[in-house]
Amino acid sequence: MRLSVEGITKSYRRGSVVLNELNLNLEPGVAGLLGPNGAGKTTLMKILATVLRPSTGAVLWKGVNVVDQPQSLRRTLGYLPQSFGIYPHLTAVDFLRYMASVKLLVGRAAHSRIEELLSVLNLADVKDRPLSQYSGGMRQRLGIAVALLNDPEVLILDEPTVGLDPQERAQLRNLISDLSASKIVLYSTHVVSDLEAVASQIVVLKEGRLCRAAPPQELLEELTGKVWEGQLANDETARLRADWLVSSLVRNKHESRLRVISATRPWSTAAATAPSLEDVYLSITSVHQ
Amino acid sequence: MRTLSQVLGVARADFGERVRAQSFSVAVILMLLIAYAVATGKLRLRLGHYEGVMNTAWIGSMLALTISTFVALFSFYLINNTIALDLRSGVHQLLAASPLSRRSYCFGKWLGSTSLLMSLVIVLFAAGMIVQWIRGEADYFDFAAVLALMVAVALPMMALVAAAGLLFETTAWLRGGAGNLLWILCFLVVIQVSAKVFGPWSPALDLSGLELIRSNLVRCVQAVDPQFDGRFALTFIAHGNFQSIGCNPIEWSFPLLIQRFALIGVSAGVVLIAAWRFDRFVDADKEPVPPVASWRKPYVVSLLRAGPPMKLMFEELRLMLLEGGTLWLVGVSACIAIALLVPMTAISWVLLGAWLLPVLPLSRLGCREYRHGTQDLLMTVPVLQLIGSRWIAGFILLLASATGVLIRYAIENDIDGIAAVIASACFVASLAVACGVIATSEKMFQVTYVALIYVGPLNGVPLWNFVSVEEGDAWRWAAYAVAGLLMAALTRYARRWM
Repeated sequence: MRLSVEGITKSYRRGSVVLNELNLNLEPGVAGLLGPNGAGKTTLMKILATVLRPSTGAVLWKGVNVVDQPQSLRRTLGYLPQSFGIYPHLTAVDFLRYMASVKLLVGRAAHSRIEELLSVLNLADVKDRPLSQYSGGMRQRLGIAVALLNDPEVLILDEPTVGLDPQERAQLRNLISDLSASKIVLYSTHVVSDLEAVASQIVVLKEGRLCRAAPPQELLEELTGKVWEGQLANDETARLRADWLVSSLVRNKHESRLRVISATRPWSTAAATAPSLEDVYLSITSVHQ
Repeated sequence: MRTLSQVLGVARADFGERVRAQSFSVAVILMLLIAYAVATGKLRLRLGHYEGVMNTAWIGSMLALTISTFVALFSFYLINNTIALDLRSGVHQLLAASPLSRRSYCFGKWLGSTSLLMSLVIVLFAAGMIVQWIRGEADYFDFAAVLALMVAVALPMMALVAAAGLLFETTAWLRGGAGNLLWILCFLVVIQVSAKVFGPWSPALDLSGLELIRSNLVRCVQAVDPQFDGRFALTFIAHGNFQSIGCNPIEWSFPLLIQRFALIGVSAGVVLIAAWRFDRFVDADKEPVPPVASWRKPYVVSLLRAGPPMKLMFEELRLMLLEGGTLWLVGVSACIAIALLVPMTAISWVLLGAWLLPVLPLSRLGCREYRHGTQDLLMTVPVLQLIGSRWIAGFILLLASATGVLIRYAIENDIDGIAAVIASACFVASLAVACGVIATSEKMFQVTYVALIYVGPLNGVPLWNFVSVEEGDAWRWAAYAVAGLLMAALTRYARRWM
């Protein structure tokens, strides 16, 4: 089972190129999609979700070009857009029943799947409430339920944790982790830590180009010995920030605690520390600046 | 089987969402008002000097005629945003990524819209039954006759309106304001042509069912008066001497029913065209930055920098002229030329044309900030200043549109005519501001304005004919001016509470 992106370019009439000759292979597991705003993450996800047509290139699913034959993927696709809508006057059950019929899920199978998802996503208690009364987090969980309705083989999640509280985020991460064994999950987020526990591949985009695509362990190993932490006087901190890539800074009265990415020890008292995915992301995107 | 399930799923969700919307409640109230007008004898069906006994056949015919003419025309505006509902709410992205086909979606939406319109028909006919019971002129209630009228007359018409709504939505240039205005023209032309072409040949094939009902009623009258010429009218005029006649319901036969149901097939054909044109929301978000955003900045900047009231008014006028564009200028030039050439008897039609020219910018007059999402930014502008400047800008735009008519009245030394144009402009500008402020959308003005034009200038109901100038009309024009100013004043308070 493989979803391949081959030479995808998306440009608009005004001349802006959002995606540029992108190649990518996705296999079962969670692929975390990272990149600064405007990198083309949402455009890539829309193309993979068959919502947007690329200007050139192909998307291959089980040997079929999805750009020409989108139905081949749509039947087995779950998609949670970055911002999506609901019918405010319907209840969660009404809305899920609607989306189930649209996704060709009917009868008892639809009913039991809807009940199961409502329970898993903690919406069972509010399932008969009009959606206009739902909070942002509840709406987001409903969107995740819609994406999972047809038990998809390909799951595309564009910032799924927006609006969720820490407990809900942890629950979602666990759910995605459970699902990832048999599905291709493309998970876009700005919260890099969300991916740490679940991602089997990290894909970094910048300015429409693929910067890096590799397993997180490989990326972390590449950065081992290049992340430093330590205390530094506040007046020296300003000078250092201009010279080094600072991934975190906690300022106290006289001193600051810094975390710096550098090939060499940045100051004498700095100690090497284990890199995180956030360090990896900053390192990759700053190199390409 | 699964495709049918998709169609029904789309229809059920669409119906469920829209039946709970505020606009549907307003439509139900309108249906009850129509039933009330029938019950109290304000709305009457007359055939020459004859009027029917209030039995099932007569009330049913009146209601079916109301549906085929008035309800069918205006219910379009209730359902011509069914695809827009998905785009506006953002549900379109979920649908675009699903295996839902264009045909299943369009047929589902058609079914949903038809169900919604038919529920209005049921409300109207249910109210009609109560009317018959209240009037007590006939004690026998013919349920089969009412059901036949609903299914064989109203259903094909409503199915056609729902299909037309979809076709308008899937045709880029018919979406929005232009489509709202063109619908009335399309409706009148199609209904007239259908009645003229199919009416004499087979009344059942007349789309609106008007000929079918008329031929049955004419038969009733001709049974007592063989000389009867077939004239009939649905009217608000109460005076005159009329002779009561008893009327029988339409005698439905199998071929007649087949012909009526064949019209649903025509609607299904229209839905297929709509499905063929529908983009299935793929590439719906064509540009990363929505075009409306480019509007926001100059709009807000121009209003905030405006300062004194007169300057604010000029900024509003400038924005309206930009919205009107070259088309408005061409239209005004044409109106000037035509006004100078046509006989004075036709001048009110030129004025109607002139009043239609600025309808799109006028419909945005009271709600432009909601269109561009800048309402919070304009909270600092005093309400009176904002409403007043918009009203004056709309008034000036209307007078500018009617330049040709004003020149002609001046040449003819017709002071009454000039006063009538000014009063009419005052009324229309107030209506535009009031509708925009109250509804916070363009549609309310477009629909109300179209309704007024339909009832007044096109159907000649004197009270609402705000373009004709006749002797002794001074009181009417004064009433329009006062109503307009009153509306503008009330709008100021409405705006404050919104």
